[in-house]
Order: sequence, then C-alpha cells, then structure tokens
Amino acid sequence: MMVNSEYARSPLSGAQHGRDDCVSIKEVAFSRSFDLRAEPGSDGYNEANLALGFVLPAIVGKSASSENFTALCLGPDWWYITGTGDLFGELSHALATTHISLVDVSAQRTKLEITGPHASDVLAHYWEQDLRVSHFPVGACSQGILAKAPVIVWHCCENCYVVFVRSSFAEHLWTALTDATVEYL
Amino acid sequence: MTNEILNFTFDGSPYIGRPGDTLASALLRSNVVHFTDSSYKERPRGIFGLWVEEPNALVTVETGAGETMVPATTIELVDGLVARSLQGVGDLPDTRDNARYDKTNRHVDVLVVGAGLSGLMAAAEHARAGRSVIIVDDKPEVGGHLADLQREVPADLLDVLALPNVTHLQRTTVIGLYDQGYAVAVERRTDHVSTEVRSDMSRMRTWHIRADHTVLATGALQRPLVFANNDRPGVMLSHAAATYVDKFGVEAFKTAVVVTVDNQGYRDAVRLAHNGVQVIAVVDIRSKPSGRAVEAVKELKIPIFTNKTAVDTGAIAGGRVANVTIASAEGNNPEIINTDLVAMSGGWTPTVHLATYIGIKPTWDRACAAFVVRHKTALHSTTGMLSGDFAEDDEPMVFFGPILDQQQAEVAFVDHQRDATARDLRRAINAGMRSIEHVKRYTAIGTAHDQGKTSGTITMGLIGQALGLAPDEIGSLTFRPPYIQVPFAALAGRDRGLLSDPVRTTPIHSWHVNAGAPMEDVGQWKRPWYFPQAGEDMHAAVLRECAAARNDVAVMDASTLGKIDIQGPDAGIFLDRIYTNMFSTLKVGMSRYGLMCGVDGMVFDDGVTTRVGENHFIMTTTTGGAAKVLDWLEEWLQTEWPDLKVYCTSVTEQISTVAIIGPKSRELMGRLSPGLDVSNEAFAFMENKHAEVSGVAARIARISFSGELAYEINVPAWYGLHIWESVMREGADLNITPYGTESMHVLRAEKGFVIVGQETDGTQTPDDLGMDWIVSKKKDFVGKRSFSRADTSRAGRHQLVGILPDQGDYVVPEGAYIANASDANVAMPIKHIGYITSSYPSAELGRSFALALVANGRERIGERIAIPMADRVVTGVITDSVFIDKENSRRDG
Amino acid sequence: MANTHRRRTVELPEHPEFLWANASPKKSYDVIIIGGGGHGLATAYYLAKNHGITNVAVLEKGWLAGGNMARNTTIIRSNYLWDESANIYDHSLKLWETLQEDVGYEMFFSQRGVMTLAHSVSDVRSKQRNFYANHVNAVDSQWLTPEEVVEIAPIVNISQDIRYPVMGATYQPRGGIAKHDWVAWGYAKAASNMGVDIIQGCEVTGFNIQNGKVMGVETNLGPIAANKVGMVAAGHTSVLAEKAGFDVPLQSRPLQALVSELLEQVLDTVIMSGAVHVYVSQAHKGELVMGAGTDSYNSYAQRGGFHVIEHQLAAAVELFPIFERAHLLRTWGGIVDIAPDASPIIGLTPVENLFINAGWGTGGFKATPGSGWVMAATIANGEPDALAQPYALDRFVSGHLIDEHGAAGVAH
Repeated sequence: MMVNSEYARSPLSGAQHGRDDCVSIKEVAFSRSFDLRAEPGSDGYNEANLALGFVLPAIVGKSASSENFTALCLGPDWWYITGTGDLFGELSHALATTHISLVDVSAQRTKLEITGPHASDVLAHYWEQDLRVSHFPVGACSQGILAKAPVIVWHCCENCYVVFVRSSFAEHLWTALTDATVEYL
Repeated sequence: MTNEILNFTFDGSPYIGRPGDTLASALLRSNVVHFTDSSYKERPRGIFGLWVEEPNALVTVETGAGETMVPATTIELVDGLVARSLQGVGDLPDTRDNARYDKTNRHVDVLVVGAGLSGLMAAAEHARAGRSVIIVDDKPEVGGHLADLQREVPADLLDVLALPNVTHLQRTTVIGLYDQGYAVAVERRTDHVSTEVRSDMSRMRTWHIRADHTVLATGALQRPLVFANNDRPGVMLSHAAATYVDKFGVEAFKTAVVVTVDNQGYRDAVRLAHNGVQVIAVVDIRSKPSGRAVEAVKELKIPIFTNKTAVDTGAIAGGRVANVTIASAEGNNPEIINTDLVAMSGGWTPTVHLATYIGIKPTWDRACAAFVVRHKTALHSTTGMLSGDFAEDDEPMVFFGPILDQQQAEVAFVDHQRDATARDLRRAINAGMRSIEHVKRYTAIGTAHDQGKTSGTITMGLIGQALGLAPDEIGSLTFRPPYIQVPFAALAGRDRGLLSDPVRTTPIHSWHVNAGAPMEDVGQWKRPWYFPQAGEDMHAAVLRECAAARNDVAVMDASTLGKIDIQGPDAGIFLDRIYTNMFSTLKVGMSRYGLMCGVDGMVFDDGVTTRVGENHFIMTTTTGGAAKVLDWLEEWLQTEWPDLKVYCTSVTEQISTVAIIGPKSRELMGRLSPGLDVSNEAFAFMENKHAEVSGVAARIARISFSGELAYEINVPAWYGLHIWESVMREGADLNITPYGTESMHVLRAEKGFVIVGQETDGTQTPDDLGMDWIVSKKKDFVGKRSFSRADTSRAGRHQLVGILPDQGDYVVPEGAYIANASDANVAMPIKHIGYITSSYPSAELGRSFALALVANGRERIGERIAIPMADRVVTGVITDSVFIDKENSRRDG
Repeated sequence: MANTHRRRTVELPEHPEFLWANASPKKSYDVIIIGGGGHGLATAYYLAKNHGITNVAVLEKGWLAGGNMARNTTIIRSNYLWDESANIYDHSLKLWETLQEDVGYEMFFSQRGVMTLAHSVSDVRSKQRNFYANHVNAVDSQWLTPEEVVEIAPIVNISQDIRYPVMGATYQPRGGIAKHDWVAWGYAKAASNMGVDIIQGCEVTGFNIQNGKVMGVETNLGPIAANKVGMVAAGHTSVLAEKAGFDVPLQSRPLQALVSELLEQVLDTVIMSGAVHVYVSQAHKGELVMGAGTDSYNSYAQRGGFHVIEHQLAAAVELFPIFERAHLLRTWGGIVDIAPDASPIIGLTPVENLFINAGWGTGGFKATPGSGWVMAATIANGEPDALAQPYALDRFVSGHLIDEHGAAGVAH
C-alpha cells in the first residue's frame, strides 16, 4: 500500500516537540508496519527469514534488522515488522503455500521517536518496565502500557526510543509525553 | 551559621527563624512551648519530638500549596511561610491546589532506604562493587543522627553519593514497600526553597522503584514513657529536646530533668548541659547504669537517681510543665523536682514499618528492649538501628512506665492524638481484649495521624505487663502503608483532567468536533452522539437524522468497531466453533452476521464477519467488546485448541469505516466509485467489493444495521477523514446527513436488531432474543451444551419483544420495569414480568416505541402491560420486536 | 496569639467494660460456626435469639472479627439489581434499622444515604434499570440529576470538564454506614451473654465426616464434635471446603481500602462511582473512608497493589476536587470471595449437616444482619431459608445465576 499523501492524514500530523540536544519527541507519520505470525522452524518461518534478510529472533524482546526491515519479537510466534520494502510481495509464495499470517498494520499504530540525552528520563515518567541498559539494551523491545496507552517500545539506538502507539491513543500519549518534558527543556 | 533571617507567621503572629530551622525549632526558639490543645480532652500540648514521630504540633500551611495536618517538625522554614495550629482535625478549603505533581519509574540493582551512617555504608559497599544504587532519605540532609548531633559524615561516604551509578534522593520518604522488590517513595522538591508554587517543577514526585535488592536502614524513633500528666507542654522526647537546644539554639528551657531507661538519656543530658541548660537530675529506672555517657554525666556533676522514674508532673498556669514527681516503679518515695523541661528517653524503637508491610515480622530483642528486624534474603536486608545495632555499651531496660493508680492512669497518655491513656488500656484488657489488634480498636491507640509511631511498642509492653507476658507474646508489631501521610493530589500526579483516562478518537474526529457534535463516551472512545443544526435539541436532531436515513442518505463514522484479522487453513473451523452459526461455508467475498456465546450459553458479542479469502476472514465486534473478544479468541486458541492453524491480529485501528445508508446511498456510492457497478444485481446484500473510492483503494460491504440500503466503506485509517469529506461533498445535493450514536440506536431498534450490552446483560441466550435462526443445529460451538441446563431451557424466560406505549408522544425510560396490566395500580412491591431495554421516538413511525425483555414475551404479543413509575403508570401493549419493514424490502434500495 | 478557631473531632463513647468471655472449647456442641467474623457472629446471635439454640461455638482462627469485618468501608445499602438480591439485602437493611436496640450496642449506624453516580449514556441506562428494579421491589430509590447530586453533596464536581462528567445518580436514602468493629463486638457480646462460646485462636484443620454426614471438626485445640456445622469463613471457605471434600467456585481477591486523617466535615452521605472507580464516605470523627477495585489475582495476603490506590485517588480528586489536600494515611487489604455471578453461596453442601455461607465478595458488611439471620434459620431448620434458596451451591449447575457484577459497584 503506497501512501497517497494528498489524502492521507496521520494521527498527529507529523508533530514535533523539544530539542535534539535535550529531548525531542516527534511523530514519524505513515511509517509502514506489519504483524507477522509464524511458527519458528516451520517452512513459513524459514521463507520469511529469507525474505527479510535475517533470522527472525525467537526470543521475546529481541529485535533484528536489515537495511529494509526491522523485526521486533513480541511473542514466541509473533513479530512486529517495520520497514520500507514490499513485504507482501517478498512473502507472496510463503503466504500462498505455508501457514503464516501477514497483516498490514501500518495505520493501526503511529510511530513516535523520543530522542536526546533525556529520552529515557522522559519515557521513565510513564514506562514501568526496566530501562536499564543492562536489561533493555539497544535493540530491545517490549509491549506494555505507557500513560494508559497500549504501546510497543523499541530501544532503537542510543538515546533513541521508538514508541508505536495505537492510533486512537496517539493524541493522549502525545499530551502525556510532552507534558513530561517540562523539567528537561 | 548565616545571619539570614526568615520571617514567618504562626497563628496570626509574626516570628523570625533561620535557614535550617524547621517550623518547630523556630517556634521553640521563640518560646512557643504551648502549641495547641488536644482534640478530645482539650489538654494543652507542645512540641514533643523531632521529625515524623511528632504527635501534637500539626499545622495548616496557608502559603504554597496549602497543605494541612503537617507536623511542624517536618516543615523546613522558608521566608513568608504562614501556618496555623490545628487541634487534630485538618482543613479542606474549597480552593484548588495548583501545584504540579508527577511520578517516575526506576529499576535499580540496590535500593538503600535511609542515609544515616549505616545506610551510607551499605550504599558505598554496593556502589563500589559497581552496582546501580538508589539511596533515599527523608530528612533535609544526610547523616541521620550524625546530622542531629552536627557531626560530619565521613567524606568518603559523601563522595559515594556523587558516583555516576548512584542516584541520591534526599527529602524523599519511602512510603510503601511491596512484593517483589517494589518500593514507592515520595520526593518533596520545592517546599524547602520558597513558598512559590511552580508550574515548571513538580512539588512532589512519586518514585516507583523496582530493586533487585533493598537494604532497609530506616533507623529508630525514640519512644516516651507513660506516667501521669506525661503530655504537658515541656515534656518531650530527650533526643528531640537535646537537638533543639544543641543544634537549633533553642533557649526556651532553663532547667531540665532527664528520665531514662537507657544511656541515650545521658547523652542527651550532656548535650543539654553543654548548651546552658541546668540539668537538675538524670532519673534512671535501672539500678546500675554504666558506660561512657553515664561517666560523662557524672563528670558534669549532674545528680543521678537510680531505681527511679517519673510518675507525675505539675504545671504552671496555661499548662506548661513546672515540675516532675519521681519515685520507684511502684510509686514509692516520691519527690518533686521543679523543672521546665522533662526529657524522656523511653528507649529506641526501630522503624520496622516497611518490613512489616510485606509480611516480615519483627522479633523482640530483650537486650535492645525493642522489636527489631534482622533480615537477609536475596530481596531484602537490614542494617543499623533497624536491626538492633544500638550503641555498644548501652543496656536499655524493658520498662514503659511506673505502676499507676486509677487517677494517675486516667491522665497517663499512651496516644496523644487520640487522648488515649493507660486507663483505656486497662479497660480494654478487663473487657477481655488480648490481641494488640483488639486493644487498638477498643482504645483507638495508634489510629491517628502519627499511626502509632511512638505508641506501638509501649502499647504492647503495657499489655504485656498487665498480663505477665513479654511484648512479643501479645502479638506482632504491624503497620500499614504509607509510612507518612501523602496528599491525594500528589498520588494522582498528572492523571488529571483529560489525562485521567485516555480519550480515544477516530481519524474523522476533527470533523465531528468542527460540526459541533456533542460526544458520547463509549468506553474510552468519544463518538459523536448527534449532529444538531442551529436551534435543535437532541430530540429534534435525531428525528431529522433518522428521516434522512430512511428517505435520502445519511453517513456515520463506524471506525470504532472492533476488527480482527483471522487467517489460517483452520480459520473457518475456528469460527464455526466460536460463533453459533456457520462460517466455514461462507463464500469468499461475502459477509455474514455472527453471534457468539460464553460457555454458559449467554450472548457475549456479535458482529459481521467477512470472508476476504479462502483462509482469511475479517471479524468485527462491538466497539466495547473488541479487546475482550480478541482475548477470548486467543484464550481458546492457546489453551484449548493449540492444534488449530489460525492466527488473529487486531486491526481495529488499521481500518476506518464510513457507512452511508438510505435509499439514495446507491447513487452516492456510484459517485464515490465511478468504476463500480452498484446495481443490485452486481452488488448484492452482504457482498463485498474491492474498488477505488475517491482515489483510495477500499473494501466496500453491503451491510445494514438500519434495514436501509447501505454501504460500509473500509479504508486504511489514514484515509478515513478523506473518505468522509468526499461523502459530504458528493452527497451535498442528496441531503447527505451525518448521524451519531443516538440515531444509530433508533434506526436499528426500529428493525428489532439487538445491541449486545443493551438488549443483553450476560443472561440472554440467542433464543431469548428470538434469534434461534442463527443457532446452528448441525455443529457444536462454545456455549451450546449450556442451552440444556435446567434454568437455560426452562419455560418462562425473558424474551425480546416490542412495546408500544398508549401515549405515542411519551418515551418510556430505558430500564423501566413492566408489570401485567392488571397490576397497574397495585402498591409496590409487585411482580414484574420484564423491563424496557431500548426506547426512542421514531420519525418513521411518528411515535415512540420500545424493545423489552418480557417473560414468555413471544407468546404474549397483543397483551396489555403496565409500567409503574414513581409519578405515573404507563400503559401499553406487547408487540413484535420489528417495527419497520419486516419483509426487509428496503435493504436493496 | 492563640488560635481560638481550631476544629476538634467528635468524641465517641467508650466500649462497654466487658465484651465477651474467652471460652475454651467443650468436647461438643449442637452447632459449630466456623468463622468469627461479622457473619459468623451474627449467625450465632440469631441462632440463640430466634431459635433458642445456645449450645453453639464460634471458632475463629485469628482474633475475633479480624478478617473482612475489620477491614471494610462500612457501606450499607440494599439497592442491588435482582429481586433475589433486593430481598436479602433489604431484609438485612431492615434489621440494621433496629439492630443497635436489638443487640444493645452503639454501632453508629447512620442512614445518611448512598449515592451511585453514572458517567455515560450506557452507565445511566444500566443505573436507571437498577433504580426501576428497586422501585418495583419497594426498595427506596431515587434518580438524581447532576444538580440534585450537588444539592445533597456539594463537593461533587459536576462540571463538563472532567473526563467522565456526572450524568446522574441513583440514591438510596435508607443506606448509610456503621462502625464495623462495634457491630462485630455488639453481636459477640450479645451472643456471649446468651451462652454462645466464642473461641479465638482456634483453627479448623479438618472435618470428621462419616457416611456423608459431618460429625465434628478437627482443630489446633483438638477435636470438637457437633450436630451441625456452618462454614462462614469468607475467602477461606474454599480451603475449608476442600478439606470437606467438595469444591466451591470462589475466587479470593485482594480488595483494598484506605483512610485519610481527620478532616473537617465536608461529606455527609456515601458516594460511589463504578465508572470512575472510587467510593467514599466521611466517618463521624472526620476521616475519609474510601475503597475501589480488586486486584486481578487470587491472594490471601490481605494486601494489594499500589496502582489500585493511585488510580482510586486520581479518580477521587477529579470527582471531589476538595480532596486534593486530604492525605492518604493508611491503606490495607481484605480478601473478597467472589462467585462467578458475584452473589453469595448459602445453604446446603454435599455433606449432610454441613452448611455454607460465603461468596459475599464486596457485599459482606451490609449483609451482616441478613446473612446471619438467614444462615441461622437454615441451620436451625436444616434447610435453606426462603431468602437463601436462590443462592444455593447448585445454581452453578442449573444455570440460575444472579449476576450482580454491575450492581456490586466495584471493579472485579
């Protein structure tokens, strides 16, 4: 599904708040994402690995990336995949012949990037899970609740956290997170 | 010491203090010894302690955030402070607390509670081993007793606080300890700076800390002794008195008598004496006190009375203490000593609270004369005075007060705030109370603002004495969180106003708001309720919207409906097991309405499910049922049928749905999608088509919840608003009319369609709702076997019917109960036969109508009924539940 | 200058000089009641008073009435939805209305009304159904508009600005509060006076069952024989039932409550809100007494998660902004035993002469007199009292459930 930018609206209209040298929050509008289900070790799983260019990590909370895709492991047979490739095309054979499920969920959530030296401080105002680098290193991901909104949090790089939030909760989460930047900006 | 002066007001009078003062120390320095009066017995009371253990000196602070019931001993003095004394009851002014409160979360290797010497040492050990450490202390400065004594904390320990792996939270109280290493602490951030209420910095921050290991170094509080008139202003805890005099330069006391059970009293006597107080005597209940502190007192030539204790005090006019009577523990050989300070050292009580919150039981240590916690597990350990690490050369005696006669017992206070006395304790015991919990409830001891910080151990000790038992044979010292009081607003944090619960909106929401539609809260969603035009109330708007739906074309935002993508070779089988009707036989490209039941055979949710591919379905659920249905599907797949090859994925917000309904909807659909053959033959009821709509790829379904010809346009949610705007534009000359949830309810009710959660409350079977047609007789499904249960298969169950009130312009309230017509004028209680589930005015019918559940309803169509209400009896008749177009001829347009 | 305008609290009268004799167990009794909480004590009292059965022992494993009776938020009302509930809870309320005199003990029973707020269209609909159900069952009930709500309770925030504005409320004027410990001790004292043995620190460790009939119990103080045994042990009923060889479908969840310090009186009715998850009253002395939802796991630890407290306080300050400065002073937890339909289980068990009364969940305190009355009648007559019949254990087989999840007012 290509984005027709004339007609498409993202939940937060690409809003941006704060400063990169401190903490910045912005919506990355129209980010592409997919929900992939496949049994590890199955034919469908193996074909998906080939299409993605890496082995889908089978441990919940881990991620793997290639140039085009990143896969976040949300369950033993469940990955949230973001990226710019034509995943349906790449997986068309697997979809036709094996038991996997691929669902375009690009609009189901919107993507927020929280960056800067105070990114984790701001996130910590609402995120109850362990943010210590020892427990949530770069590459780690987790599903949970952030300011009462269902989210997937991904520590994508140093001082950068990506939050995928259910679209209907986006405005609420935006209000909560930007409010939490008050003492850092 | 700086020369800076702080001005403050107390009970309307101006005072001055110094930086570093608490409100209490500043007032004592100004000789405010009589502070307030007790709540029950109006007895004069003064400042008693040093910190949170203070029972008497409570104030309302009128500046800043305006907090009430705050111990003056815990208020750090700032310039301009205005405070007012209280008498045990706090103020609740109806003004807003505009301070900002927030919270945050941390995970850490080690949490150390208390930055006295032992806490600092524990933090140092862990920090130097490379662990992440959070050290929390509630006082204005680190050091615990060292700070009280104005002794320096070793520099190497202070250095630890600055290490990068150490987070130091001062002025922060751990208020609760919970299971699995979870602690909650409240940090006070601005009150000590000034009276200003800031919007850019939170006044208090609640820390949720999850620690792999927690070190409790919470120290100890001093306890008093129980004797007659032990509550007068000027009778104080000795460590507090000595600190006020020594550290804070209080000169309110010229003379002092120290009454003690341990060497702490001696240490305090020395401090008093070194600061110009004439210590007339140290009165020690022990026979042979010894140790460094005892020697120091002897060197100062202060008389020591052994085997003696205080038994009574006398007062000057106004209530301040003027003398103390000392005697043996039995009250023999009394003598009176004049003094204006009676400093009590009744022993140290380790601050065991946090440990008890999670079920760690303190143990009685006779040598310490205290309940201590010595604990070491992977999760928790204890150190310092908490674990009984008192001064080495001290041998406190287990002693709580002298024998008292009836009269003395009546004024011997155990709990100052409750004005509870030794007599009350005796009464409790005589009444048969043995458990400490019973005694507390009988006497109210320990239940006031200080939550028994100074009375807990004493109470157990005195009961023990009365019964000839050791304190730990009475019960366990147990406390409950929070350790100190916390304002409601602080714990509410930022969850205020619109942030108190998420507002969920669809992609089309902005249009609804601009159109002035009032919103209905449907769970967390905001859905447009109706779209009033100028001058319309809801009644008028709904009539107009419904008329447009049945005569022209109307549009609704249906985006909130739950949607679940279901894929896999066993998807059809799975749906057959979940729904009451067949889905494996549904053709690709077709939609079908489905009903699902719980294991009890009661209707649980409904929706239209579409087969978009051989192994691919999209299920819709009710708006409120989305999450619970997905959980339900996953529960069955994961726990009961893991062999089924099915995957479920939520796409509730991936897809935005715009429904256009009405006789002119075909015309409009054709305009929106010129390439699509919208004739009835090409695009039949319940069929789906993939087509471009206003330039966007869409799936269009001919589904109708109103009975009218209707098209549901499904697009990725990014395009929802665009589709809606296109509809409004292209339909302008067709009287395109947006409608909200109210009209939606009316339109479906006219057709007798149920709404799960309105016609159902979890106790209706499909048959009750007249939906036996949807229950497959060929297959098994969840809930089927419950249909044969005695109560589920009995005659006389409530069945869905219609009701037409005789008065066509009266809308019967939903929820009203129905009786037989013959009971119309009978007094309550009456036997009822059912109740109204849905009730509306109908534009199409030109009158009101209702749906109801009535016992044996289907056999009673045509019967008259009565609805007895508080102010009237409504009469009417039972009808079929479908009011319009029973042949369904309208749905093809 | 002295402050002459300080608020003082209300002094409560003292408890009597003598409460109950701490008995030692005899070898046998006509009836053993397992569980010395409010319901168990009330059962013993009504066995003696209504049926002349005094050779009774109440066995309490801890300190008397130290379970839920010591921990609840003291709300009394009878405006439940179903007829069966209305019958038993209103029977209880009628007993409350003369209880202090009947038992001869001050209980601070205050019929100050109970208000239940509605915050959405569907909330209004379901609460209005409750209101109309009360009407036809002759249980006193009023429907209030938001303006009428603030006439009774000025501190309620009825503005449209809050997240879930108040849209109306049901109101039961005869509802109110009472002091839980005083109620328990009133029953205990009266029962003890009539010859009932109250035995604390006595834990039932097993049952003596022969040929399907209970003959007595095993305890840590030795075996005690009895003709009839009643289990009135709330959350621990499932543990006991297992020892007696049968299952009861009870989940035991933590339910927390909290109090503030003593504050000036600003609330003289009881207010509940299911949507916003908080219920509150202000006691005679001035403390706010509040409760909210259960934790979602089973536990006997008598403590719950802190997030429940935070959530409840956030709800409280939205609805009652004047409480912003009130302090959380003390939190604690009880164990609510909840059956699949959030209604109690009363009556016979598979073991002859072994009777059950449990599953009162969040409805226990208000039902204390009615529950005890009905259980006493059931034991005395050997068959379920009319009010108890709908609550039989076998309803989970027949399917005739009495679903009070909504009316219970507490999130489960």
